[in-house]
Amino acid sequence: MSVKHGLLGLLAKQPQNGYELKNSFDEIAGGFWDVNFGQIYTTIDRLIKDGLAVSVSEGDEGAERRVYQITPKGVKEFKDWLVKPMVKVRPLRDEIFVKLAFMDPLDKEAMLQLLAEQRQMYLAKMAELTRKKYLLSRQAANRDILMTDLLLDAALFHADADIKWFEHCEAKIRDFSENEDDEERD
Amino acid sequence: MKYKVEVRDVAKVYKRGKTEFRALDGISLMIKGGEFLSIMGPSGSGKSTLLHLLGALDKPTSGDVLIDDISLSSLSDDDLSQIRREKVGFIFQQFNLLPTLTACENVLLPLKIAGQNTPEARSFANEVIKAVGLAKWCDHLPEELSGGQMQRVGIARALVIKPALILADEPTGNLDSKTGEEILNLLKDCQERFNQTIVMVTHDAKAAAYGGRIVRLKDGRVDEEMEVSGVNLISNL
Repeated sequence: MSVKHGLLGLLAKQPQNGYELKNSFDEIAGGFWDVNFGQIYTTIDRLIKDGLAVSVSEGDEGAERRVYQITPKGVKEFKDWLVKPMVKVRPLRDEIFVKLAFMDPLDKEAMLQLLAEQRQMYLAKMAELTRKKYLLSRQAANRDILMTDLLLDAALFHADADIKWFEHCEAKIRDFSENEDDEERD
Repeated sequence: MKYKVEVRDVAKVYKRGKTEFRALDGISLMIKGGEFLSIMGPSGSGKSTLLHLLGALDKPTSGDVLIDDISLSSLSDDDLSQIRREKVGFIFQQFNLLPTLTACENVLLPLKIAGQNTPEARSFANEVIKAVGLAKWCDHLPEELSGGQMQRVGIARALVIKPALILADEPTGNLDSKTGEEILNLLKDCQERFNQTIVMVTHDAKAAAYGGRIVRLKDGRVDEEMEVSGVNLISNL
């Protein structure tokens, strides 16, 4: 699971406390992948239990603080994971699929309304992501910007695919009728 | 509030014998100066017809289009072609460059046609050529350029006359997604740097998302209209 490996990757760069981990995670994946403190701490607990990270104190005496540090076993786990492609294809488990599955395709208005609203929401989200990308494009290139840009692209391509599918659904639902006497369309 | 472009209840009806086809069926739009408006819609929804009317390439059956407060319906054909030359910059999917002219000659052509080939205009043209990243390719013929470079020429050519309005018809339709993104960023730059008013027709949501407002046409009417420039949704995709 990737929160685990995301945190390992961040710890591989430098030891950090939970608060810093949350900030670093948001910096990389923020905007389309919300991770809350609860998830960070449960994941950290598991990393420690599995011997992939340890809690250590850092800094001068009197001003010490607790941070999490990756173990050699954690480094190996992260490196192995990094170069392995994912086995499973991304699951389609959007709520919208469940809603559509339970709606009556003969209640066209309700279905079309839901699809149109969903499509508009995705488009607005795409506009927001696009603005972020545009602002990035005006900064001097560096590898962090490239990675953020690629993640934004991923979100955009997926939203775009969903919008295409919504439009496709809308066209098919509009044309759909169970008796065949409604053939005439332009 | 003053609008750069107004579309007032425009209809365009094509008649063939007794059948008539309402390509546009009563469209009204107000376009602010410096706005980047995306027009979406399925094929046959009237996108291209609307773009042609905005560019004074065609006349509406009823209603009116105003550019810089000039009512197009009151103009003669000669005056309309002057509007096209001086007020509207076109960007095409197929680039439409003249193959025998170099990149920079293509860019300067609208100035010559409009009789505005002054030193000031040429120095602005140089600024534009640099802004779109064409300085190195100035002396190259279109056939020596990539698709993305040709579209940069297309954008520079549209900008040189400082048009009231730039009309872009599927400007990334012939480009791969990475090059398309560069071109769209460049269009957005034109809006930001030159406060350029842009209307772009596209069926691609990724392109449309560059607009600050997205209008969706269906069966010759405005089906949906959404302001997206100020949206900041918390929802996650």
